[in-house]
Amino acid sequence: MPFVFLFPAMALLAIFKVFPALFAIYISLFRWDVIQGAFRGLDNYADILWANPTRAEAFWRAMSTTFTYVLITIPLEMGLALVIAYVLFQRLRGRTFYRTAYYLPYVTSTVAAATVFVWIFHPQFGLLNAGLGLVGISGLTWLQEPDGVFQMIGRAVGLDVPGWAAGPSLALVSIAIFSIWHFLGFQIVIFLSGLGNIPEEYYEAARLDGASGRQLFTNITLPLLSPQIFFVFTIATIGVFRAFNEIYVFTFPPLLGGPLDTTRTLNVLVFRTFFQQGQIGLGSALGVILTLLILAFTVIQFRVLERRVVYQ
Amino acid sequence: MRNIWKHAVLIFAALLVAYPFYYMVTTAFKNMMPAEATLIPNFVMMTRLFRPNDPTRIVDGYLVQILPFIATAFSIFLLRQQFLGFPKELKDAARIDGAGDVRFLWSVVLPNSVSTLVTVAIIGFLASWNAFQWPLIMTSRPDIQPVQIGLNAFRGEAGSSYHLLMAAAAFVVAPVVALYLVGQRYLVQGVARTGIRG
Repeated sequence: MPFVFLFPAMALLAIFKVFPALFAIYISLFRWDVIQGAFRGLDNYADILWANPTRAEAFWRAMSTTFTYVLITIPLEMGLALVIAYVLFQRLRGRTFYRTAYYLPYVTSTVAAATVFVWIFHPQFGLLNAGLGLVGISGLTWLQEPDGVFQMIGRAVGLDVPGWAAGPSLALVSIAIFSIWHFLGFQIVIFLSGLGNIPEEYYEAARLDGASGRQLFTNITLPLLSPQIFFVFTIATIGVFRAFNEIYVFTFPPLLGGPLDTTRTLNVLVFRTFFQQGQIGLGSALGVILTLLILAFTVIQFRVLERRVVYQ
Repeated sequence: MRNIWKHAVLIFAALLVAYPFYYMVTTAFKNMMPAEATLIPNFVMMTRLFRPNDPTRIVDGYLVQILPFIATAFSIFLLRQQFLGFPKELKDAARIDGAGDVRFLWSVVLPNSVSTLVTVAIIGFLASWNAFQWPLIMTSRPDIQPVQIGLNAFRGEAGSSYHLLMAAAAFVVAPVVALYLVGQRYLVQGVARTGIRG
């Protein structure tokens, strides 16, 4: 009897999840430009990693962009979320309102939200430059700016920053700002649920021993929140690996991943290779690499999740 | 409208599959494949099986947007979590009273799982309302394209008329905001328990 119940969803999962995962590997072993071509073995992977200079350059550049994106987004986002969650947890007046307000961006679609941010980041009519104009900063072109941020700061104070230290492009930083705004509420909710699980007695005992507010935070809150912190870290990293919609909306097809390819993450490169260039075999190989990257973090995350889940 | 049907099917399929998991071997069916892993093969599969001029209109129609997402490992996982909470005695009691599996599912499990089902439904709705990449590569006819694609296309038409563009974005966001304000509890519950990130 159970198998009768199982069948419909199992069949669909098999057709659209399990089979495609294997099919993706199969495709990646062939020359496959729109239609299936000759068997290439692992040559597609070799091309991507080192054998074909153009492909390899694009791949390693995308890898570096992806990890830069992770690096400029995750620490700031997690730090902000932690602080806001901690403040919201202290019986703040109207905290339900704040929680709703912070969480709202997370449920809105990335396409709609990014459309609004296209305007906010607009060099002439945008909200951001209007605001910065009041404090005397003007002329930033945000999403259209391929120059590195350190390079730009250096230029502003009259320092010549070498090319290797140029930093992420302002365009990538703009996307990171959007990403932080959009996903902050999710992290706050997770942190709040973690904070709710810490027994009040611990704080009381520490207070009796004369611990300061800061000591309470670093010696009780942080260690007891570490499962949530770790969990949020893996989820957020996976989220950045998977980012596509916002980059698509911000940089738009002919320039997808622009300006000057500075926002072309691995997932965007996959899309460009298989869809825009029609190189399905190569694209699939790139996709397999991206999947392995995501799976590595998923495995870590499942470990954490297993410990967190409470079976009644 | 199609979305509502899709979710009726989605919940039903998830319900059917989560139920036996409660009794079967406890090793979870962990389907960890991210959407990125299946994007290209699903694209190849769908475009190969069904030609663009296919009279059944599977590609570049509604079905292509619905089929791959009917059964989601996520909703199965969420419901399974919920069903694990049911005591085995309840099942035995129902059997003694002469209720079979279907009856038990319908009369005991279902009424007690409403909040989880609502969570699954809301999250499923958000996922299809916000769908972008898959319809982007699979559809080309405006009359069957979902709202996010329409909004993106409208950017080209609106040009620098930002007031029009903002109005369009507001229309796209409004139902989600309304749903969120009504079903906030369920949504936050589901997210906190499983950690999905859109």
